[in-house]
Amino acid sequence: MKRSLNSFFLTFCIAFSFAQIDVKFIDHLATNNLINEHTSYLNSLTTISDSVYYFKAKFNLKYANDSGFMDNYAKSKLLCQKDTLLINQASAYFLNNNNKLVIQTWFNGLNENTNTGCLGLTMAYKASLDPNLYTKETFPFELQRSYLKYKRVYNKKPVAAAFFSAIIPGSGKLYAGKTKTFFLTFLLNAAYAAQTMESTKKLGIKNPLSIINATAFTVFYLSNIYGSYKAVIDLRKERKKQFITDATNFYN
Amino acid sequence: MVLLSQNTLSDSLLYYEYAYYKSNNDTSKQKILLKKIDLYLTKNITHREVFNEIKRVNLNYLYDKKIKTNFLWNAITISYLNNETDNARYFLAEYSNLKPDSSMAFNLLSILVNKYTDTSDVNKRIKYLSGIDTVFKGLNCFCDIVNYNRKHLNFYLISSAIIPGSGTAMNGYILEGVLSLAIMAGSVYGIIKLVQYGLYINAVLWSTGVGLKFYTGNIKLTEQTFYKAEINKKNKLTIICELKLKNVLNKYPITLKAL
Repeated sequence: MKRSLNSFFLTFCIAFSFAQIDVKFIDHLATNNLINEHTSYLNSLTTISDSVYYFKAKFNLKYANDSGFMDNYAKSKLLCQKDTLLINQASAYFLNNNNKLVIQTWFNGLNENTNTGCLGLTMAYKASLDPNLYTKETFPFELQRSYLKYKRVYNKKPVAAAFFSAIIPGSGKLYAGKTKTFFLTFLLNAAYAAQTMESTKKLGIKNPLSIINATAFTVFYLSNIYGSYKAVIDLRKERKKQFITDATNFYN
Repeated sequence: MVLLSQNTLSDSLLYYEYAYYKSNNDTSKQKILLKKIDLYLTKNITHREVFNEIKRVNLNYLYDKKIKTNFLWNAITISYLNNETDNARYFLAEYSNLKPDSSMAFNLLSILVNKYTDTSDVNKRIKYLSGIDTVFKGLNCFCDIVNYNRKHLNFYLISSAIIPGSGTAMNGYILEGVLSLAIMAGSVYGIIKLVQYGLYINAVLWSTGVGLKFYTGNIKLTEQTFYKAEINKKNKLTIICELKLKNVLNKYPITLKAL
């Protein structure tokens, strides 16, 4: 057994010196998540060619190394772009990435003549930045609902929500689409106002209770304005994330 | 083997993996995997990557009983070290089926794997080992940890409902308990005063808004401190127990076996 293993190693070393890329072996390493062996194998490839960079790009994408992927992708762009699956996986990966600069670099650098999935994901990326650039018909039926939901919220202004809440407490939440919260906020503001008025009327404005009530009312009133402003921003983020997730699931 | 010793661990692992990949024989494949595991073990590496290699081994193709038992022994130990207790228990069962073992090392390993789950088995083994050396008696503390449960939660809750903060204080959180009592007393006093001054809207809103929140909060706090006290006690017992275990393992170390 030892002999046969040693002869195997020898054959293996000779095979390496010719630096032939064994694609199936790379797939085997990737499938079994053998990161150490995968790294060693790619490092052992002495020939510098597009193919080597392509496999390194694939490796870095699998193990979520953004910069490693981008470096190797740049060196083997033509070959990478021929691999539809790789481009789709990378697009889906970057679309869900938090680093805005990396996402921008990736999608701006994509060739327009790529496959349908990639085009769809690029469009989803652009729509996530500004949904007004497109109409609902641009997207497949399965994505239209998610897109429209995001577009509707995107066009809502956080400042308008704050303004509405300043006039009628809680109405900003209603504007943001949170009907239940509107009623609760409105009632609580009314209650705080009522108790402030009662204590002011009976004890005078300088009484500690009136001051406490007035302070509580002011704090609640102002936080309701800020809350409405933030509700629109949060809803935007939430719908955007949902749209991106739906697009990723659909095109991948 | 001269060739291997000249290479780094990663290179050697790659060579073995390539041999595994090229091999068409399942038995040879398992042997190569065992070589890989052995390679890690000779370098004293027992982390997740070794565990992943262990999971790749197909036991059905290990025909040599000695190799299989040695592999299972290592598999139990490495699974335990990687906190994979379910896998450790599976390998332990396979090992027991293959080779009835009453050695001290095996009993100790079984205690390690089952210390937080199977108390009856752990008790039995501790009793057996205590007959050999009294140092093993100390390991009974693991059963105490598993069986430790604070009782009478409702008593503490009712106590806090009648005298706010009393349940919390009885759980060992005296300052929080006194604070709860003071806040509740202050709230009740304030609400009575509001009624006396004829500020009915204020009285209703303060009692339903703030007063009620303080009251229910005090009961919730009692529940939280009840479980917190339980966790604290368990953590203390665990620290003492792990120390005892360390002493036992220093005296009777569990060693990995060559494959």
